[in-house]
Amino acid sequence: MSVAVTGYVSRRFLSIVPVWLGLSLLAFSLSSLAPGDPAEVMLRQQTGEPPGTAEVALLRQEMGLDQPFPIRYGRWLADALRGDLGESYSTGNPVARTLIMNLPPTLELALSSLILAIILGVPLGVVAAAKNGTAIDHSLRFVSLVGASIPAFVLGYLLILILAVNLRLFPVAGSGGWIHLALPAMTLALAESAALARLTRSSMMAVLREDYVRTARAKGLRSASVLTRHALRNALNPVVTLLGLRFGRLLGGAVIVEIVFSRAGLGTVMIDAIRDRDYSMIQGFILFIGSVFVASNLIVDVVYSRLDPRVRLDSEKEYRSAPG
Amino acid sequence: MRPVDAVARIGSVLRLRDPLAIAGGSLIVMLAIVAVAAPVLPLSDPNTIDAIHRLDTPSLAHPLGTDNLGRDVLSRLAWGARWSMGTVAVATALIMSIGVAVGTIAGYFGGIVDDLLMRLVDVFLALPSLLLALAIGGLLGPGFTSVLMALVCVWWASYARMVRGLVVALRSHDYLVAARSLGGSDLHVLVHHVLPNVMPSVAVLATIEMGDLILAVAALGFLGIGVQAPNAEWGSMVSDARPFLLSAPRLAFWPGLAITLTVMAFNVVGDGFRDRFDPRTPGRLFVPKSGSRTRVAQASSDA
Repeated sequence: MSVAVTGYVSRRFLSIVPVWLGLSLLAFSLSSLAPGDPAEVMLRQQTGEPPGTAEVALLRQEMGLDQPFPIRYGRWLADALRGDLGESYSTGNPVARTLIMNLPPTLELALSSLILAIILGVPLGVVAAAKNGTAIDHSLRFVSLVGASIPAFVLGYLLILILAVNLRLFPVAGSGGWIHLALPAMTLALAESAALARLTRSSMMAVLREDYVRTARAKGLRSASVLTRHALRNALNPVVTLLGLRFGRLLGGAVIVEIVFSRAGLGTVMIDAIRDRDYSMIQGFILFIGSVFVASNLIVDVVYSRLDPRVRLDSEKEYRSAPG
Repeated sequence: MRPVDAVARIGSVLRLRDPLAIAGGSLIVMLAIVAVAAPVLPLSDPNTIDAIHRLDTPSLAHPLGTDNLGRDVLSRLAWGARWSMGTVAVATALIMSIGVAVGTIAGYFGGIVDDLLMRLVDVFLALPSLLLALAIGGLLGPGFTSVLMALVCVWWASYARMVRGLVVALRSHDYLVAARSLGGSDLHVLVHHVLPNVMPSVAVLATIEMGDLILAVAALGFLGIGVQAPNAEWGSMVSDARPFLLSAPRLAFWPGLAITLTVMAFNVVGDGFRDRFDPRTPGRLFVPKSGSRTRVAQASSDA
């Protein structure tokens, strides 16, 4: 790795520190703003009846809730840095453990639909750009518009009705092997591939106007080879970046899709936490998802800086001319 | 830009040649009318339970049939439009105000103010929007205010970032330097020279994001964070229809179609607006600074 690359990577690493600290503050203050007292909620859940004020006060003291905000936040942050997000107010299980245990099925869903979306979306975008202005282009545009507009839970029910109930190709709901993954992944992938197809199309259209594409055509290369070898390679750069940016959206979508298909994962954890007003779980969830998201953006940026040297050179310039 | 010019420009936008955008624009106008007029429209009461007419198929009295509690589906759709459009309209007004204020201050004054505000924006953009909205809405409980809070908390950041970028690009323009050297105060320059050049882009972004907001409202409703029962909301109508997916799929179909068509309408109109009057398209005042970051931002807003 050259000096420029390591410089860029280490700066990029440092830049996530303030964001992560801000995330932790956001996560922690959100649950402090919420109505209701965690100690009271906890006691009510254990006994099933409204607790007395003395009991609540005692538990507040035990949980450290009587301390001022900065001290509570400091303690929580110090624990979080050691990988301890406290215990669930409703189940008593460690929050971090619950989240980590439920991450794999959600990641599996998000990643498999990402792959499915790339397989579907990128070729469609290339075809639409190559057949620009024809009926194929227009109908692809319309299909991707529908795909981008239909909510995941509606599409999920539609696929359940058509593929699981009428055609009996897949199980209706549940979790298990790949067969249970198929419908949720398709649900999530269709919307994503619509966005990918539109982006690939617009990026390809821009590249197809470049001089080197005209040169390649003038040399007499077959149009398929011009499209894939000359145009697509360059058109994919913004697509790769978008994949990173949209990964968080995909995680958000995965949570909804999990609920539609009653699939185990972070979605179920989140919904249970909201139902039980489990503040410690919700704040842990926000910090956890935010960290996953920040990390995935970091990976994409670093990968991208290897693919396109202009990124790190630009940021170098920006860095030097930055005020202060 | 004077208000007259803005109206003239919007007029030219509404004379779009793209039939999809015209259809989308008409649908939005229609939904807005339904949303405002729902209480006086000749519809049955959306919340009246009728045990005899449960799960009725469409008839003259109930054009789209009734749901599992005998409530009129068409009427519930209309009241659902009132909820969705109303929430999104109020949320967009708040989001635009906060986003424009923060972005303008950060971009115009620069320095440490800019750094702090943009780090704050980074934090909010570091979370998947739907999950953050879900967490906030979930913590605050169902109801209009908590949905509104969730939407505003999540969506202001992207406006602030875009406006800041535009203002930074504007700052070095000769006419701003001239306005300042003529003795214009910061407030005067901001209100008379910066804001008018920023607002068209904000309006375009707002239209595009309204589709996303409709989707978010529906998703929150589907997950039980939204309107309080028994009031109608499109997303919660879909989730209520789940047990009847096999026996009466139309119960999920109509609200699902309503959400999809509304989001589509905002998407096509947003696209049309961007093509027509986003100053960031080449040949206008703001030429985006070169570099792949801008290219990516533009390409991703195309998607």
